[in-house]
Amino acid sequence: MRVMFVGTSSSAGKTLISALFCRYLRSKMVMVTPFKALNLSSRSFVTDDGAEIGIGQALQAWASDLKPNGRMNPILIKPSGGKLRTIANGADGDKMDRKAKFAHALKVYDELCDKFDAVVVEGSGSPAEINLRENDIANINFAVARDIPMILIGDIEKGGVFAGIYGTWRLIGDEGRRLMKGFIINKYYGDKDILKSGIDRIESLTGMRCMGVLPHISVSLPEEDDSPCGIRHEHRDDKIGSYVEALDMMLEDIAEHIDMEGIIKLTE
Amino acid sequence: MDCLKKVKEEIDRGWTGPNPECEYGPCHYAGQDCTYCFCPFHPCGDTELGEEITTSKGKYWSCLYCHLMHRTPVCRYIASRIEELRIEDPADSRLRGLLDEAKERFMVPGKAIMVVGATSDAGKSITAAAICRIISRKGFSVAPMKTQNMSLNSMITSDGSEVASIQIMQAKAARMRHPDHNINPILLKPMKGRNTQAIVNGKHFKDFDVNSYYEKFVPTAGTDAVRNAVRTQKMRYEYVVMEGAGSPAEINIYDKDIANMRAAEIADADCILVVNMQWGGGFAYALGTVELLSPEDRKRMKGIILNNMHGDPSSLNAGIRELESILGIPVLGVIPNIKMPMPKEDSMTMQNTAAPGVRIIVIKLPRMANFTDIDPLYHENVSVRYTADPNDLKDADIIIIPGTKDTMDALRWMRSCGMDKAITERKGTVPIVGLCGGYQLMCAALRDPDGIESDGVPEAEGLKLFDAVTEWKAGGGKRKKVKGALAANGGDIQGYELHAGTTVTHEEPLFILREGDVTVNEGSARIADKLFGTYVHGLFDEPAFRVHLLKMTGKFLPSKYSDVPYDRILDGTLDELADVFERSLNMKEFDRTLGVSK
Repeated sequence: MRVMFVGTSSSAGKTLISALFCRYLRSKMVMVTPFKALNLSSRSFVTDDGAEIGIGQALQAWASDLKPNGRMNPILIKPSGGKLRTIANGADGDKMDRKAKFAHALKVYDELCDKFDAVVVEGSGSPAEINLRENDIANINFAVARDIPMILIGDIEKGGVFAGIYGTWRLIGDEGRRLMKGFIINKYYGDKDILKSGIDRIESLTGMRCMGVLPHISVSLPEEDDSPCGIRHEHRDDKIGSYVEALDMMLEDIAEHIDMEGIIKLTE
Repeated sequence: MDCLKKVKEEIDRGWTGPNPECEYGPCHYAGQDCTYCFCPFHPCGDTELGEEITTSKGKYWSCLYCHLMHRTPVCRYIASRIEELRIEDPADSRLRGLLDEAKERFMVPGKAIMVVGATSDAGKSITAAAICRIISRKGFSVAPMKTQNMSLNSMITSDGSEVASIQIMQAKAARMRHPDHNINPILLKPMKGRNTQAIVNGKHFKDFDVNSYYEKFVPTAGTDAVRNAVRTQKMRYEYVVMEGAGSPAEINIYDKDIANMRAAEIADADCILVVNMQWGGGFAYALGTVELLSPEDRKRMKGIILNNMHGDPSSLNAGIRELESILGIPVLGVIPNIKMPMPKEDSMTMQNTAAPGVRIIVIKLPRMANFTDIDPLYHENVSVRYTADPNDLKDADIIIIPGTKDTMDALRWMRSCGMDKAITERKGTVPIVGLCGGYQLMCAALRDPDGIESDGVPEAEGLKLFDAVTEWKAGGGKRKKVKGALAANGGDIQGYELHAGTTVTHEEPLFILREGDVTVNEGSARIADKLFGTYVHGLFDEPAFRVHLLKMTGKFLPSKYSDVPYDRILDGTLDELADVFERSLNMKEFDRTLGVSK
């Protein structure tokens, strides 16, 4: 199976929810790997094979009982000395044009699909940046090129979540909309019943199904675009163990708030 | 009578226009027309224009909120009619008839504009402030309004009303002289648990939970309060710039929401949508917000402002064109990320800065309140850090304990995390300042026998920094504006008090307040131990105490604002803000869209 988690904005919760979904599949003994075509991050994780990938993919790899490797994040864009540097599986990506990057990402993805039962893909930023549509590698263009069903995550904490979800759906074109199967409302504090009429309306307007309303989860995990957390050095195995344990606990905590089986069905 | 003589002079002079050099200062709003400095109709007795008030000198006809007389078109009209009718004597009975003529002609409701946001923190407050200042600079009378604001940062207006601090800032942007409760008819202050205290028309009304608020209050008293405020302000001002709350497209509570499109409907406001571009997905949020509105409400949306853009605004062009063509609503401009210190709504006011200089640590208490008090310090050579971590106090140069909605609860929190010890350990080494709730915490004992502040804690030991006791009693506490001097050097201070609970102290006073002809000691100061406590909010607004405190650290390095009152600093900031908006927006489109022109 394949699924792509995309977000209405950055920090919507794509990384963590992708990791939890990897962990869920792993608990059902599915051979799963994470994948993010392109990552824009100041923090990278150096894998055993010497590649640099986003810290989020490393977490998702551990959740999948895998060692992080370069193929999980074929293209990494990293701020370096006031400039953006592109790393493509160890190669100097700065010399690659958009088309070459896209082809490279697709090739790596296809290889993963051959090897694994499931590939859990994370989008990058918002998929509805209509000013950058031509340049998109990691979101709608990628999903459409490989027919990957998508789940949209909206962060309710900053308000306007229904507008964010509806507006994103509106701006991704017919082909994107065909693949956008469901949505998740993330970081919710209050009484779920209060949201019901809004969720119903979005479902009937878009045909997407609401796959969950998640509470605000605060657990110390390595986060992208955050300060270094020291996982590169000694005690790494202990740290990894504690991250995976935290994910297992979260999975239990959120079991009633998210329909994991439903996501599997929707995307099959 | 002198007034008549003055009016006679005015009549003889004819229309003279504004008088920016007036030694008495603008009376009703900055930029008014002063042809009739003394109103020829005073006391008109017209309750649509003024009201009879009782002062210490007896009854007086107050024109504080009359905005008919000092508009240029009105002054021109009356001057020309006086000439036509050859009125020379102020006692001429025909003069009074001109008031009715002018009312008939010019007393039309002002225009309402409403700024709504695609999310919270979209930048509504500063956009509304910028629009207020832009409209004021064009020579119109203008007032801000947020029908419903949820905030623990509130202030007291000169009529004794409690309103959200951010609306006071916007009133300054509008250059209003006398904002009252109408700038924020409903203020919601979250309390411990799930209840909220509702301040309606500036006074405490009732406490609600979410359901009773939306089911009982909003449809009745809430809607009435909004209607009254809108009607009043539209009659008084040429423009009312309203601000929504959160997103107007929360479709699950659409019909119950009195802060956004229902308020726009009541005010018949044209709306502008502000979108924060920082998080990504801005176009989706903009489109989704507009399209989820009801068809009638969608007609009110007249423009979109893309705010807080990091990087090159022209990179958005393709997206802007597509958004405009889908919605048929113009994007009025892209506002860059603004670097200057800017008062913002609650959470963002807690900005941590990392400049060199005096390190100010503000204790992040549970339900911290009125921390806009700290804002003037951002203009000094200091770094400000809000913290809940006791370890952060070790390298502080000044420790500030701010106000809180629940002092007893804050005390419990301090004890549980060791913040109490972290503070008392630094006694004598660095200045420690307690504001309102923070001052109460510094006392030796806190007594609440009737459970007014907190349930179930009749008495508690405070931080024992002052030989003083705070007690809560029914009818205790204060809410009023105050003026006076810093006891240590006589420097001016002014601000307001807003507290339940009263403190009896055996320390030297921090301030000497003037109440009419008498002086009253306020607060506690023990200079030797560098301890200060006060109920006066706004204590850093005037330079006197700000500089006094910073000097105590031995690290004081004056900034260009160190001798400037905060009001004036803010006024300059608001002008700069309006400049940024005028540069970034298509002002022709803005004027045309919103009908802002002479």
